[in-house]
Amino acid sequence: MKVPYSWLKDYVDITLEPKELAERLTMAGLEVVSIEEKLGDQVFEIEVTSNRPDWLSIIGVAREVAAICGRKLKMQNALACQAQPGQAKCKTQEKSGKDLPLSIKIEDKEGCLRYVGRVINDVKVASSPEWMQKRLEACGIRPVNNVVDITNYVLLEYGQPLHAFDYAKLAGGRIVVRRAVKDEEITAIDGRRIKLDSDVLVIADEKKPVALAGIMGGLESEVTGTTKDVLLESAYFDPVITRRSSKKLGTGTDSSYRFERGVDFEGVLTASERAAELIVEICGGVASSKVVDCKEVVPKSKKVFLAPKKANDVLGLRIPEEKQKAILKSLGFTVKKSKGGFDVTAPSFRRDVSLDVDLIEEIARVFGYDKIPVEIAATLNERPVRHKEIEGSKDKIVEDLVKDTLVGLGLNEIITYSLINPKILNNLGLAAEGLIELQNPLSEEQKAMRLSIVPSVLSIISRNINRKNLNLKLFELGRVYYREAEAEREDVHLYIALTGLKCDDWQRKKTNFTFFDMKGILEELFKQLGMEGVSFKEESSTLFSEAQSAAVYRNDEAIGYIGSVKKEVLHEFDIEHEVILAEIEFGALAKHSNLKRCFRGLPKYPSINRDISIVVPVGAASASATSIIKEKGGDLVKNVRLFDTYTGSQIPAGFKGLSFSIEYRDDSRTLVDEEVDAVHSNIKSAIIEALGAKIR
Amino acid sequence: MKDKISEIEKEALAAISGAADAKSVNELRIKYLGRNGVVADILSSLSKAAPEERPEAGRLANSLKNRLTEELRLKEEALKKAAPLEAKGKIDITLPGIKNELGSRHPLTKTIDEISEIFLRQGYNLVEGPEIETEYYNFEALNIPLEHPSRDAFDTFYIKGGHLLRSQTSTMQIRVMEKRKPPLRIIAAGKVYRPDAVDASHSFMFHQLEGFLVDEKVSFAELKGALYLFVKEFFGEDVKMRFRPHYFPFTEPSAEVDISCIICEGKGCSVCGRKGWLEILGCGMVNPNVFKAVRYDTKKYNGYAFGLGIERIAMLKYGINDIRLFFENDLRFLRQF
Repeated sequence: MKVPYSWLKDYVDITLEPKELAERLTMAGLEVVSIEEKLGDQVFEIEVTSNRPDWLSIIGVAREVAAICGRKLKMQNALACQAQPGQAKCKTQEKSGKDLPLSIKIEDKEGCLRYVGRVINDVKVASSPEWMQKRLEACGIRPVNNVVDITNYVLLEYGQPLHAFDYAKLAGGRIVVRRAVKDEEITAIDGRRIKLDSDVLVIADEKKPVALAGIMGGLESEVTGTTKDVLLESAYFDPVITRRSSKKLGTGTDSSYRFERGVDFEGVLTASERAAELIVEICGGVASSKVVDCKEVVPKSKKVFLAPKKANDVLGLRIPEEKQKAILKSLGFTVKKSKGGFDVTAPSFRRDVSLDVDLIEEIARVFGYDKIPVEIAATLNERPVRHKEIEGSKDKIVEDLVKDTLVGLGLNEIITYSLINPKILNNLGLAAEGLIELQNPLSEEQKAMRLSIVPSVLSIISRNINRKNLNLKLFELGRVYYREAEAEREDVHLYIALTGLKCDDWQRKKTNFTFFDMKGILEELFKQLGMEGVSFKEESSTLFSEAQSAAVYRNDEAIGYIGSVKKEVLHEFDIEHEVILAEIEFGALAKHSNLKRCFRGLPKYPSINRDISIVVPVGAASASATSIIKEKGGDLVKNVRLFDTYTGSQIPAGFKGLSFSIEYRDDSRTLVDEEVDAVHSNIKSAIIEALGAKIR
Repeated sequence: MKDKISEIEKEALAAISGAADAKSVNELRIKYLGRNGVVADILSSLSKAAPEERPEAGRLANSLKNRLTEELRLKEEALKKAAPLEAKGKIDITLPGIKNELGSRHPLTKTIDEISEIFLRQGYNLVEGPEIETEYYNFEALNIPLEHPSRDAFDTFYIKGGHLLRSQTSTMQIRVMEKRKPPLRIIAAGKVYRPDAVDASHSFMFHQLEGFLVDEKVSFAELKGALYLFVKEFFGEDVKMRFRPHYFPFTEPSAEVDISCIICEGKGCSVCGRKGWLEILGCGMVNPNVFKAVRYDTKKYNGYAFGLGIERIAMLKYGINDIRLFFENDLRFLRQF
């Protein structure tokens, strides 16, 4: 809303400089976002909140200025015609020579609660006076002709949209407010041919629609240079119906903006009179005595009881009763003393007030939010819990531990969009079952909720690689969304991705991330979470290369997967480097984590280490050797560590060498070499027998 | 004999003094002190000397041996000291350290964590809830009527069945209050969605943090107090704040909170649009209509609520000028936090 400073001064004696006034308005809830020097005036751009249609007018803002400055609103000035101050004020009651027929019928009483129509005869359509044009332009409205400009001028002044018809173009001198019939058409003032239906409220003459009610007039009946008699419309159109029509037609105007928010029911006639007066004054017409005012009964403003003590309690400061009363009165409220407080009636332009807290806000606003003290609330008499489960929530402690662990291991957290292009799932061969699609997407790229974070992670990797960030260790802990049995579900999943070099320095050999770097990260994560019973099982997947693909199990429950992403999949993202990926269900981590820590005494007796190197077929799993060692070694074996694998010239083709270091220890005494030798040799024979292994 | 010893001493000392490296010192040691060396010769030739000369010569020979041993040791040390450092395993300490970098939490996560921590210390509980919501939780229960212009601020993505992606975290007020009784101190953070075309300051997905407190006799002054603690701790002691009246359907009275611009310290710059103030959050006293939706006794209880946009706060805190950077996840960006 653009408000020229000079226009406000018509209604209030303002002593404040524009900048100071802007500051005061801002702090009273009319945020002045800018002050523009325009046509010799200072024009405020005010952001008006949707609950205050009354501020969409110069008078409404002036009322506020008067209240915060402790001045009176000078309405008599508003009615004084600016054009020629010396002339008589109002000619609307004057009898005109010809009384043109005028009939107004509101057929749709839901859509239109009040319609005031009047005819002004013999106007001379020309340019409007310069002062009016200047004000319109300052407010961002293009001058058209004197009649149209006056309707716009009063719209700005009173916040009441008006429309002027060329009476001669209205068939039968009739105005009917009704819903459009399907397939009726109208050409709007902006030249658009619009097809209508019964959702749209129209103003019609005897034959056809002549205006889109509350939104825009029709081209055919607009006031032009040849217009002689003008029908002036001032109405109250229903906010919801206006909003629906305007959304449907994709047309928002200064009029519809105000009707949607609700104009002042009582102000409909006042604005009509003001405009008629100006037309007579400026365009030289004669107002007909016939003013048709069709109105429905609108419920009176509710009486709201206000206890001044409650106002003070809610705000946390003491504003004297009399001051509270004075503020409300300055804003146009009627305040009557009642038992323990006031009965307050809101003016007709304040439909937003229905509860005492609404009044309390008015008092606080004008009194000044900055006068409310800063108080620290007493502490809650309840143990603050770090996290409590509410629907769909996850355990913040486990979440923090997961993130801390991964960050500690050098991974960078990413956050990606939850909306994706569903096509990518197809391209990746991922199932699109349960996909949730938006009904009003912004574009194909953000058309569906992600079922998996894989596409998002891969596109982030691709983008980074394009920008020469080649070595990446990334994770995202985020939601995936799907529909199951008609209900939408949101699960939190953990994604980890590794690509590029694991070390890239002058001291160490340059090596790429491998499956085992990822496995190590997961193992450390499970360890930090105190999760037991986790195993990795070979399992193929549409996502991973056959050679490197595994599922992660916790006991018998699959909780995720890990593998090297297939070339074909990487190709979709233009990635040429190997990417190792893991996905784990966060729910499983939260559920199976055990954060209790129990100290175990440090060993009192020394341990003895023995190594064992074996040669086994390439396909053999190293884990089977480990389990034989543990089984055969019993309690004495405290730790088994694979410290080398070998294939090459010293070993026949189709075989591999594995070297383990075994730590033997007894918790109750010092072991002697002979005992360990015996156990160690048992282990050797067992491995030879079970795995067909050779000892190196 | 005596002269011979003194001559050998003179010659040996000259040789030691002239030795250029450890190798020559070693050769001299073998020459003079070795098993078949010069000193050993002297000692063995003592038996051939006249008996009356023997004690004196023996003493001199031993003294020579000691003197040469000491001189060789000194020479050796002196040479060691003078040797180039590289030979002693000296390193180039200007070579870069071997990196063992920590990773990083995303700046949005860090911002949420930091803000949460401030409120957790004030006794708030942290909760999370669904992003796919119903009209009821996102609008109706929050006193946002259907087809009202106040919905314009909450443009929304819809999915099948009239469900929607929440356009604000205020949904959590209703979800929590439906399940629990006052007193309550809650914060909830998470993703929200609005159909805004993406540019430097808009995103169709962003994060919010909602906080609310419900109790008996809660005042606006206490709302100011809670946010005062947050602003001072998060943005710094010198930051000024102001509460500006505003409108939100779910609070009454409502306010927007501005802080003095942390870039220009209130003088006016491009970040604050020359105003010297930055809007950081919306807040207010919970509207009784919201309590009615969850069947709280509005005569007994009232409360306050506030909501802030995490991206905006993070952009201000870290001086980030483009919201898209958060979701591009460029490693060079992530590493800065």
